[in-house]
Amino acid sequence: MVKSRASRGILLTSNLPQLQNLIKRDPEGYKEEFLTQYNHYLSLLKLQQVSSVTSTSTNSTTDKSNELFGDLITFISQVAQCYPVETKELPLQLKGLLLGAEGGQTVKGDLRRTVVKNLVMLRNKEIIDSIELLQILLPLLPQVPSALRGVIRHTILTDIKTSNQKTKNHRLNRVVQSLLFGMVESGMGAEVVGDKGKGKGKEKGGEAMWAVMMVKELWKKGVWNDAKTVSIVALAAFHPNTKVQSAALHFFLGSDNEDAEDTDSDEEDIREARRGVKKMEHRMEVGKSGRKKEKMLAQMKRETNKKRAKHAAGLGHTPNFPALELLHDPQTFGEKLYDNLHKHDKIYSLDHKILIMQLLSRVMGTHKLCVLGFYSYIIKYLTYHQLQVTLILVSLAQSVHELTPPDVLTPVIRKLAQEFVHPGVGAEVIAAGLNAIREVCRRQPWCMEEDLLSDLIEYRKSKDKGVVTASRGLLQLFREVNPGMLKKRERGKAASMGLIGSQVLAYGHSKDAAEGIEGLELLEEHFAQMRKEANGGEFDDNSDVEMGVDEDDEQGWENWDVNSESGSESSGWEDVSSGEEDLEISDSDDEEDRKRDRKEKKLKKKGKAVVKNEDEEDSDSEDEKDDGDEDVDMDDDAKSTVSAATTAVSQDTKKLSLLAQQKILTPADFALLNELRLKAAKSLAESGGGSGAKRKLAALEASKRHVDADESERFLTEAEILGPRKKVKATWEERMELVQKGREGREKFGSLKGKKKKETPSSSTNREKARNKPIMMALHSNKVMQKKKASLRDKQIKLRAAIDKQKKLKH
Amino acid sequence: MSKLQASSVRGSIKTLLAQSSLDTHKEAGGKKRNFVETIELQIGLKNYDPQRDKRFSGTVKLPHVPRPRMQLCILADAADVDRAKQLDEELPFMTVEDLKKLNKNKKLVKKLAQKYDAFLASEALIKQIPRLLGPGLSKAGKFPTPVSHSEDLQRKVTEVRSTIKFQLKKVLCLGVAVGHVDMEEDQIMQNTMLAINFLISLLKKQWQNIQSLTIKSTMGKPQRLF
Repeated sequence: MVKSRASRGILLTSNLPQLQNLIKRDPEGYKEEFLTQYNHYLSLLKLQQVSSVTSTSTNSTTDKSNELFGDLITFISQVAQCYPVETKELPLQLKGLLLGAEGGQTVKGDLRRTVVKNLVMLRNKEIIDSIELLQILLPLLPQVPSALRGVIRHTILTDIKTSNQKTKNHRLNRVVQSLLFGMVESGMGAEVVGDKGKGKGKEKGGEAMWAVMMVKELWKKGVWNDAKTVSIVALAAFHPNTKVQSAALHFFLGSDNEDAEDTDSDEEDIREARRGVKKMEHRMEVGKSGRKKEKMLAQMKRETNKKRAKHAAGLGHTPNFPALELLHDPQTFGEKLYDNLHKHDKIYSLDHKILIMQLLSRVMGTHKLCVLGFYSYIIKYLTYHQLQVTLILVSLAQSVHELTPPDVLTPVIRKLAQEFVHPGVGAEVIAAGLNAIREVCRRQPWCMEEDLLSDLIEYRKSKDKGVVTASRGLLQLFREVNPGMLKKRERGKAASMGLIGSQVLAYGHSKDAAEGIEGLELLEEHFAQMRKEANGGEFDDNSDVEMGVDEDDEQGWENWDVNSESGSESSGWEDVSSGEEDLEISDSDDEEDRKRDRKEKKLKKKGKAVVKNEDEEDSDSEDEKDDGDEDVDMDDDAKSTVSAATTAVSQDTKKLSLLAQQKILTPADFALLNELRLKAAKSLAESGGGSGAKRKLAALEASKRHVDADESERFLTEAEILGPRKKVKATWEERMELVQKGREGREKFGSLKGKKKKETPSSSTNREKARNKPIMMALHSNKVMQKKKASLRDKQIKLRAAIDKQKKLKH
Repeated sequence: MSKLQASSVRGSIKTLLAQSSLDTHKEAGGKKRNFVETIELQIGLKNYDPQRDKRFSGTVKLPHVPRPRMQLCILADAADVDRAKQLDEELPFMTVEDLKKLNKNKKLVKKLAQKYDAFLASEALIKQIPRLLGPGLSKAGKFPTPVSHSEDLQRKVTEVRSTIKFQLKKVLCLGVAVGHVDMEEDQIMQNTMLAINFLISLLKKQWQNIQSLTIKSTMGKPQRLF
């Protein structure tokens, strides 16, 4: 017994996995063995710390000892959960190994990988928490070789992601974010190194780069979407290293089209599920239907609904504002960006400068900032032979908004016109210049001068299509926003007839506050007409009850909520907005009739109550009240006018539709309102309201189709500046490239004869050639002709020879 | 919540008023405060993706002034200074010289912006504002409203006071003042209804974008409408 135990002990010292297995089964029993190993590990750890200081031992021995050490670490970490007291120090020791705490040096190579792996395992066994793990792993990122880095990065990302899955883990996020912030900040003091010229900008940017990358990835996944995250990257945008800077700039610039695919896949899921339900329903209809199938269908429907609800809710709960919007102090940010650009103009490469310009212009445009230095700065880049000038033009145009002072823009516009729009340059240049001017003027029309404008508009008679389009666009723009700038005959029909009401506002003026809802008078009119029709049709005593200004029409709220858990597939909203409003509402008339008697009394009571409160108008309304049932409507009207009269509302507010103040508009009302507006716009467009009316109609129609026309307008693209271009003839190189592309992946043309069809490809034999020779050629060949022309004697000799040969063959 | 009815809005306003009025606050479970509480409409949005959907903003003029004690200031030229002095309650004003004294100092401009709730400016001056003051005012969302010499100043002041602005910022909720507790119930009602209707007409999917509607007085309890 004893012997076997001892032999097993011998076995165990060399076989760690087996010991591990045994320990996990019986931690108490094998504690002694564990302690032996643990002591071994501790001494090796000490040795490691000492040897790393001296580091004189030869390679082979270190390799061996490292291997043993690695195995021991793995073993200890595996069983750490069984001896929590003894191994309390383990995470700290591992951290020391990785980061070189306590004066010791860090480990390298395989051993490092082992240590990282074990740390992750400790995290998975929840011996350390993720904050501790991330604190160790994050600083490690810039130091390790790429293979291990990939592992570490993946670990960090998944760890943060999983801990934020159900709810945001604010504590963890805060710790990690401040770590990342520190990583970025630590490099901020260094001197700026440009990326222009040779030998510069070689360094990678170190840990700041990794911090930005991490944030970028987490932002993209939607794990982090708060202002703190943005502030990390905002800080990195001013990092002395250009690589870090450009990563940060790209983060802001590219952040508008990121999570598109994510939500798209969600929608696709839902669509798929609905298709499945449809299919099942169809099968129930045409095939056998049993209880099992019914149950399955119900289940599927429930799941689909749940999915849809989740999707809808998800949209509401995790709003993902674009990074630009979340900037803490955009003005300072913009100013700093400009300073950075201006100060290091000489040492940054053009691409980098353009990146900065783009971001600056977007920040300015979105937050309506004024960084006036930018415009005088950009002027020097506005020459037609400047590289990448279109991007510069884009950023110029984007930076302008309605609060940009026109007087800083005027010189820019003038320079643009001088540089780009003159007969000495190519047509594309003119088009680009005109388009850029148009985009600037669209945002701030007051920067244009009359003379210049009339010159620019003359280009609409040019021969090049792009130029014509651009110039016409400019003309059209000014016809809409400020026809006063144009000559009389260029103003266009709508403007000269005074049909366009909405002129551009003078600088600093904001649109007058709306006093009601657009198109509401149409709705009111419609209701009035409905009422009249009801009156005329029925001659009913009680028909005076107001339909529109009623307390509430239940009808309007019916079935509007898409998310409601109704089994029906059609969503209520679409139902309401389909073109059957008139019918539906006339339905509601009949229903109203039934309710009327009840409602009428209620209304009357209310009317009385209000009237009693009013002193001045008392007598008038008293009369009406006494008039009896017919006047309930009047009474109600009186109530609203009376209450309006008591306040000091000016006269013209009364003219305006009071509907919005008296009634909460239901979804059906809004649908109806949209229809009416559409109808009105149509009739206006047909009666010749000019292009403005047509455009309005198009916008309304677009909004009905739930297509947001404005979202494309948010940021300008290069294509808009370049304008439509005539397709130019391809050069020889381009054509050859196309040819080469066509040849890719196809077999070479040519005959397949002989070469490919045989089992052993070879060229055709002489025999084959002879066989396939055309008969006419064969007839006239030398061989045949000789035979024909031979003398009788020669023929006889040949015949004899042939006969002899035949005879010999037979024997 | 599936629907909102005018009567329920009226009910909420009644409770709200009862809670903050002197006579009835005891039984209504509220408290009368020593100042005029403002009534605010708070809106929560849903189904709204700020990354894709257009940022909406809109201003609407309410029929009744919701904040009569709003502090206004006019950035005035000489003529407007006289006009401002002649108003019933004198309107605080600043001349160009005063503004130049601020010297574009960020702190001073910020202080100025904090001191007043809104600004007016003479038409002639409005172009110089960004140069004189820098971005401080527009940053605070208080870029001055221009007023020309031909306009009635008093009326303009009332107009500014009764105008409310819906603007989505970094969160999906909004709040606007729709009245104060000294107003008539009907007036509050009209203001609230107009504000709600206008807001909903701004939204792309109208009612489907609304998560919640709440009214509350400054220190009172919130009353959920929707």
